[in-house]
Amino acid sequence: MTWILERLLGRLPLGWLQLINRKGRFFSATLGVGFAVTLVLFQLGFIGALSGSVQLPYQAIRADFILSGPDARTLTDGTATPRQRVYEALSVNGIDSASPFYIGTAVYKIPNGRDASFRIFGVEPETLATFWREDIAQFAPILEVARTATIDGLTRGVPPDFLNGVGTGAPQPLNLNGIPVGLVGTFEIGPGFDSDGYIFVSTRTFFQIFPEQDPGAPAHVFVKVAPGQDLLSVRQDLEAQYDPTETLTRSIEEALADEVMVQTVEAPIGIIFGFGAVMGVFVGLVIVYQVLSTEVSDHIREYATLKAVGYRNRFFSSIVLEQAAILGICGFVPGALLATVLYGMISGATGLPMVMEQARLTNVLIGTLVACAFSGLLAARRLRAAEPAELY
Amino acid sequence: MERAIETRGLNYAFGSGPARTQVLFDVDLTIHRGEVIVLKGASGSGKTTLLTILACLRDMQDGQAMVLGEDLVGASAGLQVHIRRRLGFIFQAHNLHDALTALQNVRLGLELHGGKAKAQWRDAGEHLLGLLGLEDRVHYKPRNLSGGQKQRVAVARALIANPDIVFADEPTAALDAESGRIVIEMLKDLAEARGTTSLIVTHDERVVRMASRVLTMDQGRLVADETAEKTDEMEAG
Repeated sequence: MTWILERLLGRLPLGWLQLINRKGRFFSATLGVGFAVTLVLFQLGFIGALSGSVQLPYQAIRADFILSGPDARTLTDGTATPRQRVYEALSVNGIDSASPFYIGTAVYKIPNGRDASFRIFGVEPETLATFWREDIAQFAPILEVARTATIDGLTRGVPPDFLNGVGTGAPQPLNLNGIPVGLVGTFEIGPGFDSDGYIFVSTRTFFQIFPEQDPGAPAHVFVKVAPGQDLLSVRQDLEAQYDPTETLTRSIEEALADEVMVQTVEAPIGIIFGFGAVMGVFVGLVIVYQVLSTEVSDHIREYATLKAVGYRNRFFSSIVLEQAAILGICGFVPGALLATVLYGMISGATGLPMVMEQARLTNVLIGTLVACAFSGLLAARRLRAAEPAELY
Repeated sequence: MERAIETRGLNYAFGSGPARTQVLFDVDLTIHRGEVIVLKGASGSGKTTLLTILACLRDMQDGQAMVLGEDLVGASAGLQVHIRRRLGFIFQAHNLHDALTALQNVRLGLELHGGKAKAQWRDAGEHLLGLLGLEDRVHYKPRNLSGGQKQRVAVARALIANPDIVFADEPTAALDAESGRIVIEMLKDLAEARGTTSLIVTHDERVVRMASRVLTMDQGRLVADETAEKTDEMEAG
C-alpha cells in the first residue's frame, strides 16, 4: 500500500504512514466512518425503497390521465372526485374511456399468521383491460362475479401455501371487514410501507366491503384517450371542462411524481429517513475531523520542523487531505459491504424494494470523500499553529 | 571572502505598548562562507531571537540583514521560504516523525528539493547516516532509537540537502562524547569542503574549541567577537 501511494502521490506518503503508525486509532476511525457510511446508505436505501414502493401501483396503471380532487397528491389522500366527472370526461372529444377508481384499506388475519393490511382497489371489471396491466386485467371476467377478488402474489407476511392455493381450484376464502370474498387469482405489485399488499375487487364487491364509502365519490377517475388523438390537445379540452380549484387533471407520470415528492420529502416518514441520512453525514464529519485534528495536534512540532526547512502550507494540507481520503475509502468499503448485506436482509424480511444501486454507491462514495476532505481542510487550519520559530 | 550573513543595526522587540520588551539592540555582524560560529550567552541574552531572525523564521523589524545575498528587510513569505530551503536546521529536540524510519526522516530533508530519483536519495541518506554511525539503524523508527541516535538522525536530515548555512541549537546536548565529536567533525568538514557556514548556539566546550569564531551576547547586545583560540586563552588566563 505504501508503495502504491508513493507512486500515486510522487512523494513519501506521510499521511498514510502516520495513520498506520497508530493502528488502534486508525481502526477506530475506519469503523466510525464505516458506521456513518452504513447509516447514510441505510437511510438512502429506505428512501429509495419508499420511492420504489410508491411507484409500484402506478406501474400497473395504463390510464392516460387521472382526475382527482384539488388537494389529492397521493392515491389515498385528498378529497374524493365526483363520479359525474366520468360522464363529463366521456363527453370530451378524443376521450375513449373513463372509469371510477375506489380505494379502501382492510386488515385480514392470515390463518396461523399475523394481521395483513391490504389496499383494496375497487374497479369496474369491464374497464380493467383499458386501465390496468395485463396480469391484472386478465381477471376481468371473473371479477364480475360477486365477492370475488384477486390478490397481490407478493403480499408481505403471507405464508406461501396460502398464496399457492389461489387460482388453482375453488376460490380461496378471505374475510375483509367481515365480508367473505373468494380469491380467484394473483398478480404482482409488491408491498409498500403502509400496506402489505393489494387486492382488486369489482365496484359492487367494494361497496359490500366498504358500505360507508359513497359510490358517487370515487378516489380518482381514470381517463383513456382514443388511439391517434393528440394527448396535449385532449388534455386542454379536458381541463377546460373543470374548475381547476375543484378537479385536478394529471398524467400518470405527474401523479407519480407528486406522490414520490410527498412521500419522500414532505411526509414524516420521508423526513425521518432524510434526517437519518443527514445525521450519518454529520457523524462522519465529526469523526474524521476529530481524528485528523488530533493527528495534526500530535505532530505539530514535526510539521513546524518541516515548515522551517521550507515545506509550504499546501504540502501540509495535502498530507491531511491524503489522510482524509484514506479514511474515507477505508471506511467506505466495509460500510458499503455491511449496508449491502443489510439491504438484502431487510428486503427479504419486508418485501420492500431495497436495492443497492450503483449510482447510489457512487454518489455516497463521492459524498464520503467530499465530507472527509471538508473535515480535513477544517483540521488543516490548525496547522497554522505550527510556528517554526518556537522550535528554538 | 564571500559573506553568508550580514547585519547592521539589527533591533527586535516582543510585544507592544507598555508590554514591549526589546531583546536585540543594534546588532552588527558579518559572517563569511565556511565559518563555524558559536553563539554564546546567558539565557535571555537574545541569541535565539537572533538565530531565528537570521534563519528567516521571524520577520525583521528594524535594521538591515542580508542572508546568502538576499535582503531580509521586507522579505515576502515566499522569499523567506526560498532562503530557508538553502538552510539546515538542527533543533535541541529532534522532532522526528515517529511514523517514519530514520532513512525516511532523512529523506524528508531531501525530498523538498525534488529532482533526485528514489535510489539516489536512498544512497545519499544511507551514506550520511553511515557517517554518523547509524548504518545499522537506517530502517529503525525513532521509538527504537536512543536519544543520541535520534539527534544524529536529525543532524542527517539537516545536512542531507547540502545547506549553505546550518543553524543549530545545542546540537550536541543529547550526544555522548564520541557522537558529539562526529557531528562537530562533520560540520567542520562541510565548512572546509563546501564552504558551509554553521551558526551554533551552544555551551558545549567541545564545540566552542572547534569554532572559528565565538560570539557572545549579553542583554541583547553582541559584546564579544573572538576566535576560539582567543577565547581559550582568555578562559585559561
